[in-house]
Amino acid sequence: MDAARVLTALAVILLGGLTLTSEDEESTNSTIVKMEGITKTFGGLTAVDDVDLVLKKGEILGLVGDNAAGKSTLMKILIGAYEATEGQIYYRGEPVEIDSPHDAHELGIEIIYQNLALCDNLGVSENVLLGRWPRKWGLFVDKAAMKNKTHSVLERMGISIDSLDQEVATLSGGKRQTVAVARAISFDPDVLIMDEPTANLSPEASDHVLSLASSLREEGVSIIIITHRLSEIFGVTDRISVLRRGKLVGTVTTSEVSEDDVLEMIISGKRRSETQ
Amino acid sequence: MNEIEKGDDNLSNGSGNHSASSQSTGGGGLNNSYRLPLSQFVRSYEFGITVAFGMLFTLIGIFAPRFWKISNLLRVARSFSFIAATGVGEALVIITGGIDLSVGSLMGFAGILTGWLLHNGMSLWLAILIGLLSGAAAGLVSGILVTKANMPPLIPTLGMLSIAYSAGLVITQGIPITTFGPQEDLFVSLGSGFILGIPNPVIYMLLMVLFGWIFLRKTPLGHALYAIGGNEEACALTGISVDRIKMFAYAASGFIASMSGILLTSRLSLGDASNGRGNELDVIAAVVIGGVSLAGGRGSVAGVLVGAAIMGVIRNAMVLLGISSFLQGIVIGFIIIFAVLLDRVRRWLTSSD
Repeated sequence: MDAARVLTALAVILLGGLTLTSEDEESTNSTIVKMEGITKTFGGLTAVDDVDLVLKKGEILGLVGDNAAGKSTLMKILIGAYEATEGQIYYRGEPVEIDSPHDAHELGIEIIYQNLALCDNLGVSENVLLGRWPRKWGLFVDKAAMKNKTHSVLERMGISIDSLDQEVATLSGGKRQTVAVARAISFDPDVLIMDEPTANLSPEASDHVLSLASSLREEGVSIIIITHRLSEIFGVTDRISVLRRGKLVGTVTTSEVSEDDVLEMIISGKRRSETQ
Repeated sequence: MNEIEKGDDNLSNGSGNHSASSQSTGGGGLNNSYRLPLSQFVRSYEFGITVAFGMLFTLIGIFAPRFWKISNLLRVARSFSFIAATGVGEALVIITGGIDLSVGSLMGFAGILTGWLLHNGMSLWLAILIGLLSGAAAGLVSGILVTKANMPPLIPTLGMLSIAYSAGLVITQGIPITTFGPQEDLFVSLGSGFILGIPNPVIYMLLMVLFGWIFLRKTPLGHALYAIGGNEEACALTGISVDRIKMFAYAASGFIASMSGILLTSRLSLGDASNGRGNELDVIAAVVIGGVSLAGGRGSVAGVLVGAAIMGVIRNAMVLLGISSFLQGIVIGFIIIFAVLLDRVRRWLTSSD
């Protein structure tokens, strides 16, 4: 009985050690997030079906696919809003359980939602530091510190907003997106997920947001951009993963493919580069 | 601090507006944007209704000079002080996007409970404390039902309106309480006394408005109330404990309503279920006229004070001018609708520029 226990314990230690070493190799390969065999079913519906996704350190990964391809579901699993039915997430090579947005947040994963999740009635700096307003004497909101902090976040992004008091409701779509990005950045994330960041934006504002993503990459932030506007992300992404009907069609290096290649993957679910 | 401001100047070179403003203030370009610009204040709703109130104040005085007499003004202020003070608590709830219909009945109930305890010989401060806690507890129950049982705020607070009114009747058995035990004189003096010639309820109102203003403008909890009213989901996603804060708002509203009710009982030296009955509508009207949005997230307690003052002054003016009191409801009704309409127009104008 005792011998069996010791043996089991030994086996566990050995296996654990083995998995650790293999994961160590992964991390030297500069993978920050690895989602493995992720499946999510809602009742009888399979929204995400055995998907593997890898995000490398300091890259921008485009996640594309038409509606109901499973992009948002997959990302909600990564930030802990949904629980995967099957599969495992690795973060910096370690298997992790992300059960809530709070867990993701602790790991350094932030998401900017498509609907932005801003408080329209509040000012810019109050939104950027929503719920984390600096205090004065422990009792009052320190408005000066709040604005200084917001200012330094915006400065890091290379942006100036005329008045940090200005109600977010009165800002343009591009500026609102900037505020949402600034909030995510204020947490100093290692991984940033942008859900349709250019939806409802003018072409100029879209360019601005995407160049913002590029400059964050320069700082070492790893970024996933979810979009269905293929042409926009071609300029900024390093790699593109294509989802179709919940399955991963494939992941391609942006510089090695044309827009048509990716479009075909989205529509037909076949990978042209495979046939080459 | 100076260094930070200098750093800010460098960045503000990017925008024309900023560098211009930093020149005019002699450095500290960003610091300039820290302050609410005067034009923004002038465009604010609170400023608008304060001007409207000033005009009303002048106009009534011209037609009825008695209105301007200090004794009359203090009497008017005392009459709306209970509404304005209770409105501070109501505003906390409405700013989160909720509503509290129970404040009027809670005023009545807390007054009766405290009065009845005094009548039965309890010491003054303990009786008041129990009265205050009864209102806070009722508010907390409403808050729990709103957040945990996901009820629309109208339902639990409407229920509480009925329960509190009826509970008051149960205590008095329909016979008003008119004697308040050994400490009756002290109790009655709370509501009917004066400090430096100013009626105590007016001082109470001003203190409540001051506390409410500091709380909403300066404290993290106050900011959270606005944030929840603006986008509850966003607040939950960023880790603000939305439920607890909403429960607090309802409890605070109940607490403040009971405080007003106890003071009203003292002022009238009468503990009766009719005290405060129907006041919820006046309170909500004051809050709405004062510019607090029923959709949540907007408004201030300074507005509530002016809103209550406008209604109080109009009621007084109608008496002084000999206009039938039956018309009061019609006039107040039009003002409520007009005030909200005005706010819609103002917001439409400011959003289009």
